[in-house]
Amino acid sequence: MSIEIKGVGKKFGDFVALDDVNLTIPTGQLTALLGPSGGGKSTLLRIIAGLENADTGSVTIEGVEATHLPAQKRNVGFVFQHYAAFKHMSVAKNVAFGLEIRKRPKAEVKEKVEELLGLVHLSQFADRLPSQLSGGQRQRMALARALAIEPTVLLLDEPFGALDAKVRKELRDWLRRLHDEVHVTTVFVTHDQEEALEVADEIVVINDGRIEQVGSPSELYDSPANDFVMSFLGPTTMIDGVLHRPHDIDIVTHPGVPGSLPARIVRELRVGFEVRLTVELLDAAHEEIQVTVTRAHQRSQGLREGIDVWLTPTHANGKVSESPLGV
Amino acid sequence: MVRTSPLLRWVLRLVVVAYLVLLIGWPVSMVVTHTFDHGFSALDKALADPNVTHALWLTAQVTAISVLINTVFGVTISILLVRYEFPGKRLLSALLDVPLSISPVVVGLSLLLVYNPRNGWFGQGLSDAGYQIIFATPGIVMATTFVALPLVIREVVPVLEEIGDEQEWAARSLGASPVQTLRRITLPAIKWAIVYGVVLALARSLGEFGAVSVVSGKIVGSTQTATLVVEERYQNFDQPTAYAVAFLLAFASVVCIAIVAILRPKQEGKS
Repeated sequence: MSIEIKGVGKKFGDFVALDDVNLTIPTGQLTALLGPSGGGKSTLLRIIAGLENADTGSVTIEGVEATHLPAQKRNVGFVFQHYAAFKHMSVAKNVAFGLEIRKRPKAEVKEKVEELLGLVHLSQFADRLPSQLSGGQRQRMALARALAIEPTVLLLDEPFGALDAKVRKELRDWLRRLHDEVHVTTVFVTHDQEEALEVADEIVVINDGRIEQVGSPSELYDSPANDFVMSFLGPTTMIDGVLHRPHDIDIVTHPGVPGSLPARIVRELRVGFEVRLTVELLDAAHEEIQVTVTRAHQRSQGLREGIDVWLTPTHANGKVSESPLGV
Repeated sequence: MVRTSPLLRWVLRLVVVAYLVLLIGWPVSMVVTHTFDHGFSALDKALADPNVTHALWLTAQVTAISVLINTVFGVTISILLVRYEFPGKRLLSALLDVPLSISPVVVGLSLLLVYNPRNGWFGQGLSDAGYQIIFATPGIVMATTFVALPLVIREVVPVLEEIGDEQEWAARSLGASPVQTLRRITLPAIKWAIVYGVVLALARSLGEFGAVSVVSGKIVGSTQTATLVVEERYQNFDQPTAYAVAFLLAFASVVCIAIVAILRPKQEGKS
C-alpha cells in the first residue's frame, strides 16, 4: 500500500481543516481527492507532501514513516495550481533542478531532461524562460520537473484549475495517458467532479474535513454513500424528499403506469444534445423537478412547454427501483 | 485611455519639467559648474590635500561597511518579515521605518547617549575594554548604517511578497535544503530588488551628514568624512574644495544609479 494516512487532524486557528482522516491510497493508481473549496482536500495533499504539518496522526509513504520528515526528504513530486515555475531559469534548467540538487552526473541530467521534455512535448522550448510559455505549457513543464526526481508519489494540487476550459480538457486526457505510461502513484486534488470521474481510478470525496466516500468513479456515481456525494458528483433533483438524477426519470405524455406522477412542463432549456425540462408536479405542493432527456427523445415524445406529462423515477439514490415500463 | 487636449498635456509637461529643474536640476548643475569654473584645478587641488583624501577614503570605507551590513541584515529581516509569523512582527515592521522618519541629528544624539565613553550605557564598558565607538570609525559606521537601514528592506519586502512561497516549496519538494533553496531560488528571484536597495543605501550612506556630524567629533584628518569636509571648507572660505568634494559625492551616486539603469534587464517585472 502506497500512502497510509492514519488519524490525521489539522486546525488553522478555530477552523478544522481535517478531522481524524484515515485513508489508504493504493500504489500505481491515479487517485482524485474531490470536494468543495475549503473542504480540506488541499490541506491533506500538502500534509502528504510535507508542505504542512499535521496536528495529529501519521503519514506513511511506501512503508516509510514520513510524518516528521521534511519535504525535501520525502521524494514526492508536487505540482502547484499556479505552476510555481522557477522564473529565472530556462525550461530545461527547471526540469533539471531536482537532479542537480541530487548531484547527478551532467550527462545523465542532460539525457533525463531531454527524455522528460519529449514526454511532455516541450523539447523545442527547452531554452525558453517560463514567462515565454502558455499556461498549459508551464504546467506540463512543472509536471516534467516533478517527474524528473522519479518520485515515489506524484501530487497535483488543482493542476488544471488556472487553465481555460479547452486546455483543461486536453491536459486532463493527456495526464490520463501519461499515467498509463509512467505508472507512478498519483494523487490529484480537484473540485471538478467531471475531471475526477473522467481521469481517476479511484475517487476520495472530502467535505468539511472528513472523508465522505472512497470508491471507483462508477461506484461513487451509481451508489453514492449519502446525499452529499450524490449531489456533488452530478446534477440532482428531489421528489418526495428523495434525490434522483434528472436523467433517471422517465417522462411520458400519457398516464397508465401505476404510481407515475402527473405533472406539467413549465420550462425547457436546450443545451447541446440534451434538453433540460423543469416540471411542476400537479399535487398540493407543486414541487418543481428537473428532468433531462435527449433531444431525440424530446422530439419523438413531443415534449414541450405547457403540456401534461407523467413521471416515473427509475433510480432512487443509487438503488434501482422497479421500473414498470421495463426500460 | 483618458483623452486630454494637447494643450493641457503640454502645460502639464512644462509644469513638471520646471518643477524638477528649479528644485533639482539647476542647483545640482551649479555645483558642477562651480567645480569646473577653472577647469580641473579645483579637483586637482582638493585631491592633493591629504585631509580631503583621508575624508574621501573614510567615507568610502564607512559606506562599504554599512552597505554590507545593511544588505545582509536587510535581506535577512525581509525574509523573516515576509515568510515567518512571530509575535511582535507588526511592531518590528513599524520600528524599521523609524530611521526614515526621525532626523539624523536625533539618531546621532541617541547613539551618543548609549555609547559615549564617560556616561553612556554601553560606552563605559566598551571603553574600559579598549573599544572606542564615539568619535571614532565604529560610531560613524553605526550612525550611517542606522540611517540607511530601511532602504534594502523596503525594496526587498514587496518583491518577496509578490513572488510568494510556492517556488520555494517546489524547490523543497524537489529535494533542496533550506540553504539550497535560499541560494538557488529566493536570492536569484529578489536579485534586482537587492541591487536597487544597495544603490539607494549606497547613495544615502555616501551623503549622510547629520548623524555622522554628531558622533564623529569632526576631527580633521581623522574622523572627518567627505560631507563634513564640504561643510568645513565652505565655512572656512575654501569654496573650490567644498564644491569639488560635493561634486565627487554627487558624481558617485549618479554613477551607481546609471550603472543599475543600464544593467537592469529589459523584461524585468514581467511574470
